Amino acid sequence: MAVLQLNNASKTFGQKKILENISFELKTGEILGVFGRNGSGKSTLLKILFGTLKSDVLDLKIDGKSFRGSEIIKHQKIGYLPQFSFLPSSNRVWDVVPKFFEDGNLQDRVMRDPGINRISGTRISELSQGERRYLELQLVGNLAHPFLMLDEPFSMVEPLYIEHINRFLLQLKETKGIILTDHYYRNVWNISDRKKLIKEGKMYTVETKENLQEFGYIRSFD
Amino acid sequence: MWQFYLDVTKFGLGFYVLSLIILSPFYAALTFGVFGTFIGLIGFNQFHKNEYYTYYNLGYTKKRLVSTAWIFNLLLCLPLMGLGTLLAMFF
Repeated sequence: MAVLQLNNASKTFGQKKILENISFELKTGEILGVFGRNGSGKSTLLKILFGTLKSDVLDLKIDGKSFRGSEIIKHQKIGYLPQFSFLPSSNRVWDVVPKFFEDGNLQDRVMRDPGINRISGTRISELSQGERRYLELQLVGNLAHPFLMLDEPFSMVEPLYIEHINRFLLQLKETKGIILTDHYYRNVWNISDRKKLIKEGKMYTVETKENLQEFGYIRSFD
Repeated sequence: MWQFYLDVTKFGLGFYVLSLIILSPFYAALTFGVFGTFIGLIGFNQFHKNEYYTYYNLGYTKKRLVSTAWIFNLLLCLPLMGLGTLLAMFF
């Protein structure tokens, strides 16, 4: 089992404090749902963890070993699905898959996924937003990193794909620790083992659905 | 990573062709070798910036991507400089 520990991460942009002393622990085998309104700092937190944004203070340990922000990418401990599309748009799906996986069995597994198989010859630029999102999730999710951060994986995805994604995440959870954030909060709520919320730069533990209301994230939870 | 190199170098080669208007083939190739990657990066950042995250997920840092592309282009400029010298001899 791998353990990721983040202690006292802080980030300011100019005078504005975006994140203040954020700390949490994540183990493989669990999904941590992170809620927060637009601009609350969720994506900033994920970028800091991935090392593409420098924090004011960062104390990140994976299995007890400290990592600087600049070391995270090369050690391939954390995979990251950003909010935006990031695949080379001129490539076809069957060109992109081998770029992510040298292992032929893994390539086959991804290509045989029903959601991928039917778009295998399509250019990335011609995929619908939902198809592209699903492909990106499959690619990043199947990488060997022990931790995975997903920023809005359900965004623009049709209901049938959401079921696929839920199943896929539960399967990934067996070997990975996952941080999940999305405004489709019901999906996040249902699949997360633990929940946190970021508000005004601080991270709070969420135990009940009512907590989401109390923190002003939602009006009601049907 | 090869994809990154191609995407950067297509802009760099465009710069090389344009520089032939004002520079000799030899110096245009030398300019491409030294500065072409940086011009290519401007183009990449303009049109493919999000694609960095493909490479990041595969373990390639921006520093590694850029330095490798720069070394490749520096090597590529050598035959281009040789070709430029030959062209200058015959024309």
